[in-house]
Amino acid sequence: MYEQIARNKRRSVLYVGLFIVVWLGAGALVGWLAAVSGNVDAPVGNDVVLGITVAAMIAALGIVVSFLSGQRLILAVTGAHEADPVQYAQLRHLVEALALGDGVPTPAVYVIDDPSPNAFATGFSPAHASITVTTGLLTLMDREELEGVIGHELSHIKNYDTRLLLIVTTLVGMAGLIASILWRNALLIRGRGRDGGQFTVIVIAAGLVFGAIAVLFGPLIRLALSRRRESLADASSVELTRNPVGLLRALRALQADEQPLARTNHATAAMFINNPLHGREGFYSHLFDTHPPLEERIAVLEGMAHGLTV
Amino acid sequence: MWGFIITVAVVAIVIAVIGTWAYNSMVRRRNRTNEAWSQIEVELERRHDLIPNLVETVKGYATHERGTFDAVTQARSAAIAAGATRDPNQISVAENALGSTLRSLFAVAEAYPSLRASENFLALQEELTATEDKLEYARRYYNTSTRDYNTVIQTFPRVVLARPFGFVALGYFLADNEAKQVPRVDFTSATATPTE
Repeated sequence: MYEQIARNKRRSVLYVGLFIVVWLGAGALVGWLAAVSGNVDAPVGNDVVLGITVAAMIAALGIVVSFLSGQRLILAVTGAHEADPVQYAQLRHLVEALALGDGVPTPAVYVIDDPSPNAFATGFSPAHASITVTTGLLTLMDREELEGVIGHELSHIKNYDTRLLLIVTTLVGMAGLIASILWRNALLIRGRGRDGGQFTVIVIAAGLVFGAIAVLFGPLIRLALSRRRESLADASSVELTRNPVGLLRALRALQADEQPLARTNHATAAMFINNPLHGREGFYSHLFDTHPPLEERIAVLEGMAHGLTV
Repeated sequence: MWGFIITVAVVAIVIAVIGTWAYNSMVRRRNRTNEAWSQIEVELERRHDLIPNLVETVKGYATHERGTFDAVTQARSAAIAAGATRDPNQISVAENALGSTLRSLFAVAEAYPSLRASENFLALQEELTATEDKLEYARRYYNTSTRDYNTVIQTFPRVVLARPFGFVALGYFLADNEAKQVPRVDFTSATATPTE
């Protein structure tokens, strides 16, 4: 199990590194395009460095934005409200108990009124984090199962998955925003001046680069990252609760349930313990599945449960 | 001559840096362990506060179970007395005894359907279950922190500093053996029952 956690961590470092390389590479590419199609006298290197610098500054801005308002935004988008301490006493108690076991500050607890059973964690750091569950999850699960699910979500917080996902989601969103702004402007300034045609080409190409990040590369990285992270959180949850059976039974119950969540989209889907889009997606969506199949995760937990009893 | 002085100075600086780092890391671990212990104390106090309420509630329905009530009350007093010693070993023994009397109290409650339907009892039961849960997790966290701390002060290089600076190994909060023997009932999974 410890081996598995270490391997998962190595892989996500690799994916994050890849994302940074591609992001800065996009800046470098735009800089290079500007250099080769513009003034021939200026050295190409300057524009490439400028492109990388601008890309790094945009990334820094994205990190600041996700730190300041990412969590609030996500809670608002999913329609979560703070859990009432009396009505959701058991849920709050479990979160408090598991936070004690992990030695992390108790996260805020939120509830979504939705019959589809699901849960997610978000937050920039363990000190500013929250765990959200649906009312459907609370009706479906007993204490032991709920403990497994909360342990899974708490592991996302402890392993900084929530920060990672907030930043990557924000950056992917910003890439989309940049792409659309560039395309719009490219059409507006077309044909002005002697180099107007060339300039338009550069702007459109830059838009294409950021568009590719937004619709293709970003989601791919996010899914690779969160697929790893889901398995890691499963393993950490068992490490914390010392009981693979609770989470195992919880995942089996989630597998049996096919109700899609009402308010969800591709950007937030990666955060949930169970893919919230099931039942209404086509082939294209499956290419971007953010979660390993539940069967795979159940099989791993069955292995752990068996290992404990032998 | 200068070469010798410089060598001595460099060695002294290296030792000072390593010593500072080792000392700080021991303090950090000891603080974490103390904090974990105070979490346990918070939960134990909560447990002790809840018990009189619970006993009174059960008494209202189950009047003929005087022996069980007395056992719980005595175990609670013993646990509070053990808490004053601040010795993890004594506290864990007394608290485990209290835990087993509580289990027999809940077993008594099972026989009284009107008690089990009482809202007051259900709320107390949830509070106490939550406290037991938190206690269990706080105990594990404390034991993990203690193990890390003990290992650090007993291994080289920190062992050299541990004794003179008063870092002593701490005791564990032991688990209730009786609790471990209670079989986990699970109807959904064949793999969960410890048969082998």
